[in-house]
Amino acid sequence: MKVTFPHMGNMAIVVKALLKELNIEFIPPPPITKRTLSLGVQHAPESACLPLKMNIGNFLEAAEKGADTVLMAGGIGPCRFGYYNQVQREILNDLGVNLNMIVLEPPDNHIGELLKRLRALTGSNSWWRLVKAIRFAFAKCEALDDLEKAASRIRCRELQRGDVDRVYAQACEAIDQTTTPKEIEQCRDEFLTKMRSLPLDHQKRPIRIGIVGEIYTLLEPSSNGFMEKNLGRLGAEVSRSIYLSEWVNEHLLKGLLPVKGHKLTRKRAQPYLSCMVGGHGQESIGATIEYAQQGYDGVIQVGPLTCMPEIVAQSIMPNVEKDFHIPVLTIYVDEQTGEAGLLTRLEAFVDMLERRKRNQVESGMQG
Amino acid sequence: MKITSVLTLSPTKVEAERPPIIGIPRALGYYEYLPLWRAFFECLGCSVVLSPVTNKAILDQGVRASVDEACLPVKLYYGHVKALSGKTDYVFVPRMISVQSKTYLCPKFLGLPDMLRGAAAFDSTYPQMLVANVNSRLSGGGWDKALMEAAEELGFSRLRIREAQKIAWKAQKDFEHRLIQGEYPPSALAIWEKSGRVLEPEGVLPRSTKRRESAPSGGPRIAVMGHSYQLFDSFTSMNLLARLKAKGVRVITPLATDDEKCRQATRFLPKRLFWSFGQKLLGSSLHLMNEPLDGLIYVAAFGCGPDSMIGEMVERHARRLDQVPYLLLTIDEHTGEAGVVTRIEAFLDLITRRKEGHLLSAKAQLG
Repeated sequence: MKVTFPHMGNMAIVVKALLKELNIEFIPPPPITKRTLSLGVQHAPESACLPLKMNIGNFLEAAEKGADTVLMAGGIGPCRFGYYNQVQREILNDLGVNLNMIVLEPPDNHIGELLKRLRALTGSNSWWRLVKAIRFAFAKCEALDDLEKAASRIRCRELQRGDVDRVYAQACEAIDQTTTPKEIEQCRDEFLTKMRSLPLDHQKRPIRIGIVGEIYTLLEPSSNGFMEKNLGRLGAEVSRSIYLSEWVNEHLLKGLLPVKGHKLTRKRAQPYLSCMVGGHGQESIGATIEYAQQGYDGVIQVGPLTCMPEIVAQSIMPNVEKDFHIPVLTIYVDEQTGEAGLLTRLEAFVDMLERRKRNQVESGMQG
Repeated sequence: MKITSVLTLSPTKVEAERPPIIGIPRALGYYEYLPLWRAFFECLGCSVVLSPVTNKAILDQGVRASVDEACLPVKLYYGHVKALSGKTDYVFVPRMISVQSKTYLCPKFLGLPDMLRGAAAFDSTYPQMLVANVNSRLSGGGWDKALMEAAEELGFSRLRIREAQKIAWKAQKDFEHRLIQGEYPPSALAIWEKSGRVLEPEGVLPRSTKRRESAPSGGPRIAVMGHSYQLFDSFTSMNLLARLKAKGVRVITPLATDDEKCRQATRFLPKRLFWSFGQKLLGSSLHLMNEPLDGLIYVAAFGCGPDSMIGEMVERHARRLDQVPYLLLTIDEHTGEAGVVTRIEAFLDLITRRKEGHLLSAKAQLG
């Protein structure tokens, strides 16, 4: 069995750690390139959302390298992500690509279904070993999130453009190489220090932007035109509403681990969106409110084109904007999105926020 | 900061003298549940007002009020709700979360009342809305609870509500029975489009003895698949059904397949579909494909999540069977009538030629 999995941000490092601990052979899909996307677009339904297309590309490229099993997450609605694996199975089947799918999703009738699927993956490993492996992989996940958060925060302060990204890439590489929980911690601390000791402009008071929206387009930089990097370089401090460890804990582990969840965020969204709408619709609204309360200057909502939960959130966003006085820019991405066009929109938004902040400061001085 | 919620209803005022006038928008759930709603409210003594048949003005209103990315049926819903302003005391906007156990509707149905209230916060001309949650996922949820909630909010007594529910269900069951019998859905719905049906001496039970519309016998048998709010709204479907009938086509719609047959037809799939309307579409498409059928037209709304997945599944299965020609019509507010007509004509030509071809090859084999 040679297991592969779809890319989503730093997910590859985490899954690799998990599979390595369990002694399962794996073939990570090649990094997402233009070819990945065009393979996906060629075979996936035209009006499906972007993550499905990228997943198909990942699977096909991994299959070329010899993978025969896919490990991926699923769901039970109402977002269409839950039905991805079925449609992907049909597509791969028609292409004559033989990939066995192991889908991690809530069981339909009985918990045994999930355990059986897990057994198919873990083989002769004991449950205890699986728990240990999950904990180890999750530690990596958290370390990566810490590094990513730090990078997004200080990128706007770097004096030498590209410094932060260079150190961040090294850090990811190093975390990938670690083999014990202790090493992970050391590695994280080492690189956090390294990042902070880069030549930085500590006097700068940048505008702060929160990014909310759909999980895949938030986490996978190649799907959102490297939005965080570009915003940082335009001089904005960036924070994201969801990080990988939170998603893994909430979606895959059902909140078993004591990590900050989004329960409170969803509660904040209640007055505007009182019902769960799948995906991260409620979180988008709630997180926007949180950012406004924390004094952020603006919020960007990202999602794949035709994403249903984000459309619901987008429809309600004007009310949040009005009540909390925070500008929100909604950006949908699909295979047609070009980085240059996106950059122009981000530039305009950042300019607008900077001017707004300057005006507020000036009028504050006069008053 | 004070949070003004868009969900806080202003206190309801039931005038003792006059029962309230309830508006029902002619969109989305209307095409499946009108008899239930109408009979229920009329039995309570309310008068029921329907919004006008979809027209250009309603479309324009809807497009202006909603976000660009929403699908056409949702945009129309905005328009229909707005068209009722000034004519009613309340517009009945059920939040249809789930109408069958273990399923969902699309996220936009789930968020619809919130989306409308969001829009109403900026536009004071929106009518007052009567919202009730329909959630069959919860035990004791479903329509009964939703109607109970709605009517209690209007100030009716429980006993009276239960009585009305009984009659309303009779009406709905009668309607569904007619559909399964193969009655053309718009004509089955038509008797509920005028008021006072529940008062007629024969009540709501007797089946129509009226001669069923004589279906043309020799024409091709074509299944037209799509959400009922898409197919039966003759404005959005470009009058597709009537057009096909005029050309002598025997039209079959998904409503004519009962749930049990749908379940049987999708049993072989490894994953159950979690959208209830979607399950009906997929099930009845797969079911009909195994019957003698000359063609299958799938009418999808642009940006509809379930359609993008189900349309793909149906297409792939149709191609594998290689017996039924398949046409996918994707419709949004920019779709031109002429374009649709051309495609239908081409499709019908193809079917005719295919039939002739079969005849010829059969003759050649005989000769």
